[in-house]
Amino acid sequence: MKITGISLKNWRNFKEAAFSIGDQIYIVGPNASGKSNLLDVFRFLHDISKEGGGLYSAIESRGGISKIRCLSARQYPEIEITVTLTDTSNNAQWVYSIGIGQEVRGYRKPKILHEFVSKDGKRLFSRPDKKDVDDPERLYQTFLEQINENAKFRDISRTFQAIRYLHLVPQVVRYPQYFSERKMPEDPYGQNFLELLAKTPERTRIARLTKILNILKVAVPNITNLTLHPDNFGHPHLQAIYSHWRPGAGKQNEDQFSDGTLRIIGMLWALLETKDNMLLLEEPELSLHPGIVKQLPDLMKKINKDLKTKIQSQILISTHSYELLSDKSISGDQVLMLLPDKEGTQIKTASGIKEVRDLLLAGMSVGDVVLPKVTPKDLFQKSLGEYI
Amino acid sequence: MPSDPISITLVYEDILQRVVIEKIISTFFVEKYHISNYFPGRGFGWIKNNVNSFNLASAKATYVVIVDLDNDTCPSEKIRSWLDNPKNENLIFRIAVREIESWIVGDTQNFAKFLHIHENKLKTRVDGIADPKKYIFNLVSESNIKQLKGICPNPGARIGPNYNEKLVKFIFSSWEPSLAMSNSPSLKRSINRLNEYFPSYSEE
Repeated sequence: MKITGISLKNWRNFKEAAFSIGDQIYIVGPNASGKSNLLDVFRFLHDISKEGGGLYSAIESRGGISKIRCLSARQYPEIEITVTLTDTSNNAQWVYSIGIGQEVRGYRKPKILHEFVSKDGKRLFSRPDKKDVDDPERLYQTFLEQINENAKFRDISRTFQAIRYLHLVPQVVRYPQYFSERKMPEDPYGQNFLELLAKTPERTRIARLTKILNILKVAVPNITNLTLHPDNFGHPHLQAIYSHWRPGAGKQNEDQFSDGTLRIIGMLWALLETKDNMLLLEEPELSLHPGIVKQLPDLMKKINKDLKTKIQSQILISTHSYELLSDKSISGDQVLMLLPDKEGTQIKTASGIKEVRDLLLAGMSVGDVVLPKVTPKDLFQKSLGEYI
Repeated sequence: MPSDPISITLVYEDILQRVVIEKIISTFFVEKYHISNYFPGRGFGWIKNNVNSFNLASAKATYVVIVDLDNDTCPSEKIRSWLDNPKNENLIFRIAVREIESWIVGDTQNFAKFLHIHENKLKTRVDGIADPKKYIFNLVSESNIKQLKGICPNPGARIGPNYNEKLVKFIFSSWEPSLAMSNSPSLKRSINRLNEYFPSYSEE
């Protein structure tokens, strides 16, 4: 199943937004315009659906309703998320929609104001239903998170469950022991990255590391080998060999890898792992040489195509990178521009803006056309150094 | 004159060009033009690569492209050599001879005041200055104002650490295009072009 579109009301920076989602979506916008918050709506759906998840913990882990409700919300304090999905096997059109509010008194617990699923235009259920009216506590939980209730639309729940977010932080991979004892759920920053590698079946791991090494060989001069080795205490470590004038002297462990090397490894691993699901990538250009960044769109497309099913998994990428967006195969439909204003952030598809569309049609890349559009006007004019 | 100002997209190589155009518009054409979009070029190579796209897109919108002539000989030659197709009416392609700095120092009266040097030390036929940046550095070295020394480059650099900042401030606060145009024919032509222009867009 593929997520084909989403509409939001009062979600974080976005008072109202709707857009469709293809295989690769690039999200651009100034700092603090809501790029990560937009990705977060997909993580939120994932958190509701995942094993041991649920609506309550998805909201609590984000600091409560007040943290996720849009500051510009006034008339319609309900947070609303509506997702459209297509079943790639039979083309059935699905809709999942949820509206979340808060109890008006007491513990002000988050509760469901509406929830429904429809398939090809027919409602499978619509809440609150009669049972919810009789027992309002039922509205603390979504049907999405309940195996007993979601049998007829379990694929939606599975699709959300399979959404994966990655923002690998090299320092965390290198020195996991210095970061908190309590591990982040699902490890988005790579604290357990090495354990994840160790837990992967050996054949799969070797195959993936070989692919990664082949790409690394182009990007990182002198690297010749990449393997996973346990140390004396059984902890797994990535080991690379760098060709060196002194034979046998070029072995390095992940704590000696450069930031860029670790990021490439982490990103490629995530891409190789992504099969028929959605991957959320936060600024993949970080620490990478522009020459590599330029090739990422093509690389992501190729890695992500399942050779058997020909199904492309979906990737949502937030970025500031000119190089990434200078790939001329990226169309205006694939780029979401986040434009902050007083009423929250507006989301516009790049091809939906006339002058952007004209310049793209005239042969320019989205990097050329779109990035200047999302640069704050003052940044063109003022030198930040003047304010010191 | 139409009641709504003409919306223009400004394409430029560096910040000084942008500020000069903004100052020209705020001086002469406040009611006629409004800059609604900016394309900070990534150097002249970027503009050269994309100018044909701007030319195509200018069938439906007004684009002002400003570049330096640098070491080329003839502005109209430069435009022709960059464009694959005939130039659209709505592409206002302006070339500063030799660099935008020539236009800036063309206002000899205010530039001399800015540097606290005598006006007769400044050239009046500014389009003929071969290397306007070097010319500015030489003038600054004659000035006694300490704060302006950052305009001059450190060895190996092209401009000084405060070059843009100081010159941007000068353009905003003191530069008068009406004075500069009398010493720079290329500036005068550009202002005339902006004065004469009215858009003629093709139908959607």
